[in-house]
Amino acid sequence: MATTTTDIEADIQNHAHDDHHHGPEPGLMRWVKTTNHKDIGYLYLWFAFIMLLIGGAMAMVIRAELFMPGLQFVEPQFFNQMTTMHGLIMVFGAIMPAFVGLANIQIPTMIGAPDMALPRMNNWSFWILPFAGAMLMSTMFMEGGGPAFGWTFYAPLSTTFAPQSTDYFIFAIHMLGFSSIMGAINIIATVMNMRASGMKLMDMPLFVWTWFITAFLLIAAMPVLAGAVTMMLTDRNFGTSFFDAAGGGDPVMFQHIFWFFGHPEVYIMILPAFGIISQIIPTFSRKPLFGYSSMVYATGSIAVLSFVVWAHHMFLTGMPVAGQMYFMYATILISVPTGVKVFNWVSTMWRGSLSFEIPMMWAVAFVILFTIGGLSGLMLGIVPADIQYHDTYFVVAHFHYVLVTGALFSIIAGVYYWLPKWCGRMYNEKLATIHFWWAVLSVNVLFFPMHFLGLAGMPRRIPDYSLQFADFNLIASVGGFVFGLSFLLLAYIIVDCIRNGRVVKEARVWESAKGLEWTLPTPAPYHTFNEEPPRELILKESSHTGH
Amino acid sequence: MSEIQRKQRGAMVTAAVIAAVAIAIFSLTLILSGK
Repeated sequence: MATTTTDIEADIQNHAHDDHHHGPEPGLMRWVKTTNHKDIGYLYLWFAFIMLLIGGAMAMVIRAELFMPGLQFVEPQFFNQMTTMHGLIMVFGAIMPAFVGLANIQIPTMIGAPDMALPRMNNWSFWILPFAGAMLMSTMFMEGGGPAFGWTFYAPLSTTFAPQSTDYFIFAIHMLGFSSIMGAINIIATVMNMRASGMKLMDMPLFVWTWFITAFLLIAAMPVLAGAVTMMLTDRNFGTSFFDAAGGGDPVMFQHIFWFFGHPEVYIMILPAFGIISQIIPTFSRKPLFGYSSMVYATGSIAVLSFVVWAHHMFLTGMPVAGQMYFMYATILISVPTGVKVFNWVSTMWRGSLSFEIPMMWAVAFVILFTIGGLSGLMLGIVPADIQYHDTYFVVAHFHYVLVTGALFSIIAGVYYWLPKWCGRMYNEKLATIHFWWAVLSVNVLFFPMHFLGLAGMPRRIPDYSLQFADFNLIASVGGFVFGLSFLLLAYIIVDCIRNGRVVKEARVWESAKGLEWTLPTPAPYHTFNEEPPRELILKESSHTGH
Repeated sequence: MSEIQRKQRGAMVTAAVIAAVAIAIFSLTLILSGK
């Protein structure tokens, strides 16, 4: 049997044998043993949300310490652990798993596939994560404390001068990377091989396209990160000198390797966001997506460019002027395909029959606020300006606009968009509106003053500061606490929706939504598309061939 | 062979090729860094 029956068929047969309703296994073991793409997607999303709250709590510690000049609550060493763990948890524990969760739930239903291509590996990809996350956080309770060298873990801070717990940190990063690579393999194989035969590549929804390209970025970038931490491990424990100048190594090489991973990582966290927004805006503009093929090519261009700009993070390490010029121009070139995307979203809305349901409000906020993050990125890409801004709060403001009001907002938009389809219930839209304005206003109070702090010269990753930075820090901290509290409301809205929300029965929850997922009953059944959807249906449901 | 089986067999090949690429990139990172 094992050699002749495939994973999906085995799964379907097992369910058919054990449960005549083809439903999930009863009890908690459902979640441990599940190979169902929707179940695994929900696990990813809940895991990401828990990690978001943990990482957010660390951000609250950081903002409490920075509320006033002087040392208030924590020791500087612990402050450094907070900034480090906050970054690592948010990047590897919250944003990336949340996007993988959305991919798991949505991609098979959007391409007419019965499940992910490799469902058992999918289960493994998820269940590695809680153990890796727990190991990462356990380092904070070890002798010498947890990692305190920043999320970029530059050598020699992370090698010669790091606490012993760093070896556990390395193992955790290895496991997180392994999970990501397996997830990416699954997505590529699903899109390439499991897609309904009537769906050509240029028929695929933008969310599928952006994730497909993101998966290739993961395959190219994550092994480089694995290589970097492996070399850290051997430098620390086995007498090698990859990053130790005393042994003939080069600490600056660590930065090159890290950012060769790190810059594509930025796009790993934003390309799926572009996909989500490209699904939502046409729905609530009641128009086809403007410039579908240019969106696909722009995504591909951004992906390629993301591998040739890494050293713009390192202008101050010293490099030839020709190198600076190259990395500056290549970086600024990325604004062209990114601008194409923003132009297309605005053009989709232009003269559309707009309505501002909750997902659309988040999508519009994304377009505006992400663009602010993109513009400050352009400023940072210019060498002489970067020499001034480097390692200041301007950088912190920039990447939080990209990752919070960009990536995180798109995830929230996606959850508000697809949640009624997943659970068959509508959330409390009044509360969701309050949540939107609460979050959007407070997030700007939190991050916008950081631009001014950075321009005035306040360095990042420092627990104390000069008096002239006091006012803006106070404002940012107040914004931070208010923004942090908004996530408790989000948790309430989601749980309340799942348990008590108004029942929704329409297949097309949003009347102008297009896509195969909206042809499924609401809530989406446990097994979907065991039969391929016909090409006529695929073309009819294509979001870019006409409403 | 059913349609799903046929697709999944293709998916296994795709997955193997992609995994090999990932391992190659990991190895190259170590080799080039050690030069």
